[in-house]
Amino acid sequence: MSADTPKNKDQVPDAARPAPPVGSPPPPETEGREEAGVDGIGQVTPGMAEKQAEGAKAVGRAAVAKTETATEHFFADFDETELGDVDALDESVPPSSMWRDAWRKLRRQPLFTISALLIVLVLAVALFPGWFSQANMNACSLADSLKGPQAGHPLGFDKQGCDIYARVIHGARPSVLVGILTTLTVVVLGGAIGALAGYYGRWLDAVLSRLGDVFFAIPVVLAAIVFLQSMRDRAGVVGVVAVLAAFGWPQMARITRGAVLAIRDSDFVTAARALGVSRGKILWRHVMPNAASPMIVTATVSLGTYIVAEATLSFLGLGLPLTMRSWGWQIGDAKTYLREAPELLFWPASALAITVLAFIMLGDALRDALDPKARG
Amino acid sequence: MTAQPLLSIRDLEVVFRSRTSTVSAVRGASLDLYAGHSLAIVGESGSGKSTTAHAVIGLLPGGGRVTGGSIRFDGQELVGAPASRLVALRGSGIGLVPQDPMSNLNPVYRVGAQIRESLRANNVDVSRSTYRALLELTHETDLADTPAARLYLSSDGRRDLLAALSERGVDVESLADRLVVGFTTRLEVQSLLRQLGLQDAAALAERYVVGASATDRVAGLLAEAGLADAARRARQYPHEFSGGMRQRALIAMALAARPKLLIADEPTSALDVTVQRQILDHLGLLTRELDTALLFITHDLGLAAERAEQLVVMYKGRVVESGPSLEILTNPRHPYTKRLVQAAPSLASRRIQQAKDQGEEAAVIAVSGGEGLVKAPDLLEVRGVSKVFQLRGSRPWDRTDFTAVDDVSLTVARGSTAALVGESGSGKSTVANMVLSLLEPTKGTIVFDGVDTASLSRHELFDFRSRVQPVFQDPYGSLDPMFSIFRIIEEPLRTHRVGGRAAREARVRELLDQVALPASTMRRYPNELSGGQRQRVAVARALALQPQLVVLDEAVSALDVLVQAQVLELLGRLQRELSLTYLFITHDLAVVRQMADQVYVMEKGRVVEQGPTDRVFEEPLEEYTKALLAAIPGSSINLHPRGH
Amino acid sequence: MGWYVGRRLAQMVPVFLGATLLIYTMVFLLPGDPVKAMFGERPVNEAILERIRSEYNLDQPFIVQYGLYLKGVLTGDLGTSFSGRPVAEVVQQAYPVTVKLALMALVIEAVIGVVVGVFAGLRRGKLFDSTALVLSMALIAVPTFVMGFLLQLLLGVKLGWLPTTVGGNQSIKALLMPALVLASVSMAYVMRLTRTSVAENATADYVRTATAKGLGRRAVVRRHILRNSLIPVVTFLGADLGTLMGGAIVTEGIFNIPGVGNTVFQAITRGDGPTVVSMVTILVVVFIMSNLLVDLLYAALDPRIRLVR
Repeated sequence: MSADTPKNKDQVPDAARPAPPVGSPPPPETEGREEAGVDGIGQVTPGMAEKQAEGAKAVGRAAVAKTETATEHFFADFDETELGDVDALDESVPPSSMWRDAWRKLRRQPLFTISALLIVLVLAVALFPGWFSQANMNACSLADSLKGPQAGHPLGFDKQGCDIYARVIHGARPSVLVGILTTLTVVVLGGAIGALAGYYGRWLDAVLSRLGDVFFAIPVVLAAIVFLQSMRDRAGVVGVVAVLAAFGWPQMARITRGAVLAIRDSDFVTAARALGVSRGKILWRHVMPNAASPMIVTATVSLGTYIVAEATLSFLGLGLPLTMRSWGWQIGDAKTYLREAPELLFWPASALAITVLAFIMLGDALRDALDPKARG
Repeated sequence: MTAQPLLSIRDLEVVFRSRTSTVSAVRGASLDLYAGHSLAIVGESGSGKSTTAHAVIGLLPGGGRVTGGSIRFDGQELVGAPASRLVALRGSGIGLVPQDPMSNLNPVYRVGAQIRESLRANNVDVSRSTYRALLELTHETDLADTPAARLYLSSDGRRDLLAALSERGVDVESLADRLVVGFTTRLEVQSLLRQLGLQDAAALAERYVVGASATDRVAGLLAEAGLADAARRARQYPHEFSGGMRQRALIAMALAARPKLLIADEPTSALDVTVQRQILDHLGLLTRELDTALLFITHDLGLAAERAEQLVVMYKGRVVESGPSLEILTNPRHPYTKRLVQAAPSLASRRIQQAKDQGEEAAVIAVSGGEGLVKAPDLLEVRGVSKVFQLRGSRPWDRTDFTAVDDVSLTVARGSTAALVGESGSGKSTVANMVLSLLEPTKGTIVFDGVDTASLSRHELFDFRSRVQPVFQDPYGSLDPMFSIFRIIEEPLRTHRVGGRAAREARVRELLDQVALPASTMRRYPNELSGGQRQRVAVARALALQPQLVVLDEAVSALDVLVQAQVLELLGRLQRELSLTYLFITHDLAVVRQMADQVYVMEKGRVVEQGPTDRVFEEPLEEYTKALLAAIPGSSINLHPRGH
Repeated sequence: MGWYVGRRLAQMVPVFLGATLLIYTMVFLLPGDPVKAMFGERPVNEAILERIRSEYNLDQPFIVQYGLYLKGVLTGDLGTSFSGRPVAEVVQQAYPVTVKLALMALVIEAVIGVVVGVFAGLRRGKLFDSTALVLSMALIAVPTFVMGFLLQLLLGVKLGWLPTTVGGNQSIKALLMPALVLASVSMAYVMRLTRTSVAENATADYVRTATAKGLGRRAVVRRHILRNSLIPVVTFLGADLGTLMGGAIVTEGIFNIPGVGNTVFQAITRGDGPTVVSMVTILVVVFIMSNLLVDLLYAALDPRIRLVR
């Protein structure tokens, strides 16, 4: 070992050391310190100004160190750790986009597999109910009232003698239709308003945010009841979707606004501005794709909640016309016979719950895949 | 003498397991640290330096596990030790000063409360009543021993003592500063009073120094860490502290229970250089004073050598070289260490200086190609530019003006590099944004290639954008994660309608080649690239439209040393080949030395010093510049101790 | 602080005006004659209709009607329902039970949601966490009315522990089941929010620093993880009070509770516009105020939120 260590220590420059900050502890007397010993707690600590005179001691300690801790100059075998080129790109790994990464993460999640299969099944039932049930759900005969399962009628009959299985199968379409249409409307409306508010800011943000607050302040179901009651039977699918979307968009707008705000000031947006890309194009090409993740997650979960909302309205006898007997209507119909035949309520309620659960699970799986931070 | 090391790590193996992969973070690392000594682990990100430190204190982040080897601290084996033993050791045996002062204090508690927690957790009870009781119990009279020596001055005691002294006609002015609540002990008070010639010094000290409350002691600890106005500061919340103040609070916290070993994990890398220097000086002082061993983790070789007696160089989880600091610096043996020594900007700048001192030609070492071009006509001229932001106050009509940039003038000659140097908040990035015409100056003009940029029409501004391009600091934020590398580099071409599809693709290939990336990179996405690779992509994007001026806003600050050197070299080569002009914005003077022809030093919105790089480095005129220069890590190291 | 509250209140004025105008429009401007609807299918003398219309200002232009209504609300006059009863009286009768129900639901969701959420968040990825997560999703997926029937059937009919309907008996025991039903969805959200928040905070730097100080695991969890994690949860709960009160329509219907939801629903089906508008206006005010409360709460809990700006 060379004599460099103490020398080095010695050279920590006193001259280069800035003056002690204001209020730093004063230099207490040496005597006190020496006596105090080096015992753990609360020992005397001289101030640092005194350290200017401390050099000698430090050298002394380093000198002791030399004998005590004669550290060898060690170096590893050169070939033990091969030195690659600095910062070389590993071309052996196949390229992959964010979306592809997310897809890979998604596929590994059982939650995603289960929910995706369920959703495919529900969509199939909604699109092609004929594949699943040949029975005519309107061919009811009071003679079959509350009869149990039999060949061709796996779930038996309800009070009016209608085939329960057929009705549950045919109940899928209106529920899913309302859910999907409402979600699409909300994404377009809420997404656009939220994006404009977040991106352009200032007075536009203030106006749009207050507008959102106005619609947010009235509970969706309450507003829908008032609206649909006024409309009587003229509402139809469009009316239900319209009122749910009209009072549902503020949530999507808030999510979008937050995401856009977070991206608006990022360096890649500034870089695009410095390239001369127009504001509108930046919003569309750079900001929105990056804000998409939270929007997709919110949309998936709210699809489930809109199906619930539709069911609630139908249950109250308000939503869709009677020709579309959605699950909500069926549950409302079954409640009268709750005590004598709870299974009447069980089947449509289960179909509804499983459908909604599937969308909520999908939303969760998407959140995990799209937002690495949420994984923790 | 055959002392046992305080900390002895042997063949340490640390593995990180996630659901999909297993990564070896530390592979067979060994080191020894003796009591009261200092050792620095140096390495780039991913080298395993922080992981090693965290393994010592048993705080590996989720998924990390020690799979082999041993860590002995003070005679105890820590690998496989029960959690309770680690809890007992933390704070009182081993303290930690973490990396990022911004996120390491709990935002919802007052700073003082968080320091008090340190005392409580380690049973360092400083409350007055306890000491009183203890004193009475033991009938302690000998001041030099045990409890009495640890009695601190309380705020009440200080007030009463000063009152009593001034009643007796003693000049208390000079004394007041030296009586620090919760810091100055009975013994110290006694000797201070004796110095003043007071006969009854012992009696006075005994009467007025009766132990401080925990609150006073917390203030004392903060004062010890170098925080001014400590008692008031202790009642504040972390968000009311600056970065440097927070780091001081964290130091006070780590040292509160007087640990034998202090682990400092890049304690100042998030701070401004001048603050960094102050804090490291103070930390060094305290650890030497308290005889605390220091395990220092850093990526900066110069800093490590300056602050520690021993160095351990880690690379890809292995220790590649270790030994006395200066020995390693002057005589590196492992090829990796050699690279590191070669690349460290602090050392490179030092080398230029020493070469100059010895009459060598600096240009041989300097990266910049700007030599001799200084007299070329100016491409950019900033004339008396100011930028004032309006800040909202608490009441609706309250508006305060904040002058971010104050009457700044600078010129950049064609083909040269001008550096704008300053610490955070100096206004340097605001100047950059005004030069880029992303921000309108409140006052003054910016003339680019003879034309005032404020007078540009929409169309001319669009054209201007193709001639002035930025490269930003954060390699993770400056590329759109949704765009492929091809789309990123193609975007300027498409926006400015340059060439057809095939021509654009050829141009992207050419640009990738210029920044030394394989053509296959263009099918990839930013998240697949390292920081340095992303920054090279950002350079390629900036060069796509063949600009004349490139504004490099802290473009290499976030990169590891070797990668930084590589990008700097790339920038130098591109400047020579394409005769580019650079406006180089940075807080890092060491890098400036390698890059710039002309230096402008900014402080609080103003240019305080300007001149040719060599002049500014050799004969700085302003105090601030001198402080900045002194703060370059490693500036004190003699690289050629034995001459040539 | 004062200025902050002032600014927030100023922001609420347009929201209040907008929301009342919106609800007023939906009740009085949409097709259908509310006065005619009062009489159902019975034939009525046109002169009587005219008299009633003028009594309720319905012969005025729409915006004047709204203005008169607003003036009434601001002077404390909620108007008269079509049945002739002062709306204020209806409000007095309906609100107490709904407030009680909402508060009970709030307590239930806070206690269960937070406790489960904390344990799930601390044991992220373990069996308890996965189970709690799936259960929370199920709670959100099962509609309130189905949940209501299930509990009625199980706790009321099969086990006989709790009364199936409330009616006039508004004791805590009678309201327990509806409160559970009302709380179920929010409980799931509280649990999920707590879980995410705890899991996120558990990996925060300051938690590691607290551990490095030598604090034991329990102290770290209690002082650092919980305190910080509960900030968003508490604010969610504050905002949820308004939502619970406005969202009790279905629950009150199932359990036959004479509260706001039931009254509003019946008023809607009867076409009793004045009652609907006034009841909803109060709900809107409650909603807005609970959001203000949340902002203040947030500022009180998190010292970083400066109350300026």
